[in-house]
Formats: sequence, C-alpha cells, structure tokens
Amino acid sequence: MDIAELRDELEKHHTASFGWALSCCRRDRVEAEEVLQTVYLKILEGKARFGGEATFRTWLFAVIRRTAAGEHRKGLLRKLRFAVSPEQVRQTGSAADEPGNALENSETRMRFQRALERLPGRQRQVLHLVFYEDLTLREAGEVMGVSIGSARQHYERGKKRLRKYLGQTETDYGVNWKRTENPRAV
Amino acid sequence: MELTGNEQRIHALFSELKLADKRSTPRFAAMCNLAQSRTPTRWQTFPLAVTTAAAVLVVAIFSLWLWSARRQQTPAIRDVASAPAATKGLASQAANQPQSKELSGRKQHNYSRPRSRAVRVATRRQAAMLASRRAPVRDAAAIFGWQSPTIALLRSPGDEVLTSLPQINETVDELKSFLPGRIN
Repeated sequence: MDIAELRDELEKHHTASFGWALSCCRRDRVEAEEVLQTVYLKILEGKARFGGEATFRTWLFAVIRRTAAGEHRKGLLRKLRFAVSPEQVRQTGSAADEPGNALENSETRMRFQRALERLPGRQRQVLHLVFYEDLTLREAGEVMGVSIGSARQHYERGKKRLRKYLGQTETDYGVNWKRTENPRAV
Repeated sequence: MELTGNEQRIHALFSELKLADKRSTPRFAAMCNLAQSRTPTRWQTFPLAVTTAAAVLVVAIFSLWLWSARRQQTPAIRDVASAPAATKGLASQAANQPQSKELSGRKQHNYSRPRSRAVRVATRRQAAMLASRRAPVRDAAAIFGWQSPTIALLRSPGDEVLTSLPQINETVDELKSFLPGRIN
C-alpha cells in the first residue's frame, strides 16, 4: 500500500476510528485526538505496517488500542513524576464534563456513558466493538488480542453488568424524582 | 448477529452515542496535518539503541578508570611485600600470617582479575599495616648500628688483655705467669 492508498483508507474509517479511540481513552476527547494523531503518524511514516492478515479496519483498531494503552501508561508515569495541578486536570478532563457539552448531551446518553465508564476495560471494549462498530465477536477478539472464547465471555459479562448498572441508575433517578416531588412518598 | 430485546436496547443506546460522536468528530485532513506537523519530543529523537550505547560506553570508561587505579596500587603492595633486609624479620613474620599468605598467593596470580570489595579492603589494610611496621624497624636498625664519634679515644694497646679471657686449654706455666709475687 502506498501513502495515497493508506490516506484513503484512513479517511474512510476516520469516524469509526475516532469513536474507538474515544472508547479506548475512557471518553477523553483530548487524549483520543492525540492517540489518533499518533496512530496516523505511525502508519504514514511506516512505523506500523499493514500485513494483510486481517481486514484493514481490524488492524487499524488494534493499532489504536495498543497506542492508547501506551499513551495511558505514559500518562501514569507523567502523573507519578510530576504533581498534576488542578488546572491541568481541568484541561485534560473529559468533554462530557464541560458545561456546554453537558447541556448538549441527552440525559439518557449521559446515564449510558456513566454506566459504560463503570464497566471493566475489556468488557467496555468488546461491547463497543460489537454494538458501535458492528464487528463480529471474532473480529473484536482480533482487535483486542484475545481468543474468540475470551471475547464472548467479556461480551456476556459486559452485557449483564451494563444491564444491571442501567437498571440501577433508572431506579436511582426514579427515587430521586419521587423524593424531590413528594418527600413523604418514599 | 441477531439481537434480543436487551441487546437491541444496548444497540440503540450505542447508536445514539455514535451519532453524537459523529457530530463532534474532527475533520480527517485537519487531524492528519496536525499529526504531520507535530514535532517529536526529545525522547523520541534519541532512539533506544543510542541511549544503550551511551550507557555501555560510560560503564566501560568507569571500569577502565577503576582498573588503572588498581594497577597503580599493585606495585606499592609488591614493594611492601619485598621489604629491605633490616625489616626482613618482621616482613617474614607478617608473611607467615594467614592474611599475608593470601596476599602473596594473590600476587602470584593475576592482579587484573576482579576481586570483591571485601578482599580489596583487606589488601589495602594489610599494605597499610606493613608500611606502618617498616618505620620502627628501620629506626631500630639505625640505633643498633650507631657508634660514638669519640670511640677511637677510648682505645689502648692493652685493650685485648682487658677485654679477653684466658683460654681453658692454655698450659699451666702460662697460667702461673699470671700469679702475683711469684719469681720463676
């Protein structure tokens, strides 16, 4: 593949890649953009090469996952080395925390995002790959670097846990609403 | 993959999230340009191989310096071990001690062989001890050989008679000659 072809492929999968990068970076928009830039640089400079063993999308997602994990480790090291000031924390905070975006986001989506954030990394990733990116479990396993059996297990556990968390938040919201409307009702 | 009720609900939630993400996705061209204009950090410019080579070089220089320092120290130990004649007694006494045996044994072997820190410290202590013993022995030898400058004035022709004793196997006549008031 020459650079022009690579660019075309990257552009074709750009939206999906950004969504996957967001998921790998726990919905941190700034970090996701940085990760995606690094991935594009790696691919265009030839540091990461597509061998053709899997589909381009699967390979690209695997590169994004590995890069995000590396950036996460570097971030942890940086945090250990230097004390992070509150300004930095505010700057690197997720986009969902910003007041403008919070207004934009619907209540259901916010609850769903919170429930997703509570899930373990593997379970969140497999659910994202299957429901968001429409990959099969085999492809999801390839992206995550695990077997199909392991991917299926993460998928089932993730679904169960997500259902539980969503149910919890719905109950909490109901109780809260009742308390504010009629405190004696509960 | 066919979706059941709960799965359909999760899928719907993910679709909503996907739509929201799509609206806020940065443009591909802008992101690519940003990626290509990004300057590599200082650590990225130094590959791991160069860093490793530099570290190995530093260790090699340090080892060479240590080795040369030990080489300079070795002749001093040899000098102490082969002390002058005046200190021979003490030196041999010291050589009979187990520590110096170890030292002389090592001397016969290769000095450039790396030794442990404890052995090096013991060797250094031994050398210092032998060096401290050399000075009093040298002084004692000097005192023992000292002669007064006026000793020549005290000498006389009869010195031999005064300083020597008659021998047992001398004849009786010769002995009688020493007796006082006797005329032969």
